[in-house]
Amino acid sequence: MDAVLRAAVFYFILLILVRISGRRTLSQITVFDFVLLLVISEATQSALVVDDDSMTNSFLVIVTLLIIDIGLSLAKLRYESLDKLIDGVPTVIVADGTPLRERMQRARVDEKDVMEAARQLQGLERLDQIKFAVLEVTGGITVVPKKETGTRAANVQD
Amino acid sequence: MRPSDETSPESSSWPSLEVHEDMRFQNRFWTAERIGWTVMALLVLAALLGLFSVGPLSTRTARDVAGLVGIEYERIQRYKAPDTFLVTLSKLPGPGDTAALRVSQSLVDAFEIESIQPEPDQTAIAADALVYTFRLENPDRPGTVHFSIKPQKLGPVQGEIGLAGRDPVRTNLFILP
Repeated sequence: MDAVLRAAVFYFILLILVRISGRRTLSQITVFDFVLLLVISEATQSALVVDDDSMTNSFLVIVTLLIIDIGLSLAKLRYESLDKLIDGVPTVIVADGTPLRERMQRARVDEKDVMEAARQLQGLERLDQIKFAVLEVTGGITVVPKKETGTRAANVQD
Repeated sequence: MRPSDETSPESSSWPSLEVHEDMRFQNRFWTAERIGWTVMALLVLAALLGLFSVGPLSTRTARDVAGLVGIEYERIQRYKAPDTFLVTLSKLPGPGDTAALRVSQSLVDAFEIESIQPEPDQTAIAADALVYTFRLENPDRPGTVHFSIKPQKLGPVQGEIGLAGRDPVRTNLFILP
């Protein structure tokens, strides 16, 4: 019984901690973020199984974590508010080439991040070539470029 | 929060972009996020102060009324985390070269005693306590006994440690999960 309770408590504590750490924390994984992730999992692991190294215990912990995860994914489909609470909502951070500074600041994203995504995904060169940039629920930034003709005209000018 | 954000649960601000934006929720969540960070910082601060065991708020030294026995312990304990109870015997009240230390049953129940250093000469079972008898080389300067313990219960624990037949030292502990 305690294995199930412990796993359930940990699931929700970790969910809350990861959620309030924000999208930026674990989205763009740097080498150090990766190390941090390993350390967090190590710290969790010892408390999840305490003294009991039996197969039964680890099996129960794993099944509990997975069943909560499945249950929540089903509940998210049904209740939109729960979906928003757990996964968040996408946020437009650049509209018609204009960066929305207040939003970017609160989401801890800057122009460099937007331009990085623009180069990577669309091969864009300047901010004004971006029509929309959206901070997605996964933590990544997606970019919609302005129409092709605009880009070409700008290039010619250069 | 700007009024334009309040009234646009869907992507009405950008008709061409089909994105399920909800700035009202997002702004509220950003605020909640900041509150969450503050709580996390306070938790770290509380841990440094000893609210989760080991720290100025947790480490306690207590003596009995007659000043015969002093104990040093963590008031806040963690479930199954090893710790030490230090019991210092200052001087013996009567003649003889033994000291009988009474540890109340509530403490014995709440903690697994992993080892006692030095080992007692004798252990006796009393109605509501265990009595450990130590042989002393110099009854004028008895010394210190280390109890290595491991909490086995959760929640508050009240206990008493003292010389047999004397007023004991009262301990108030709390064991965290």
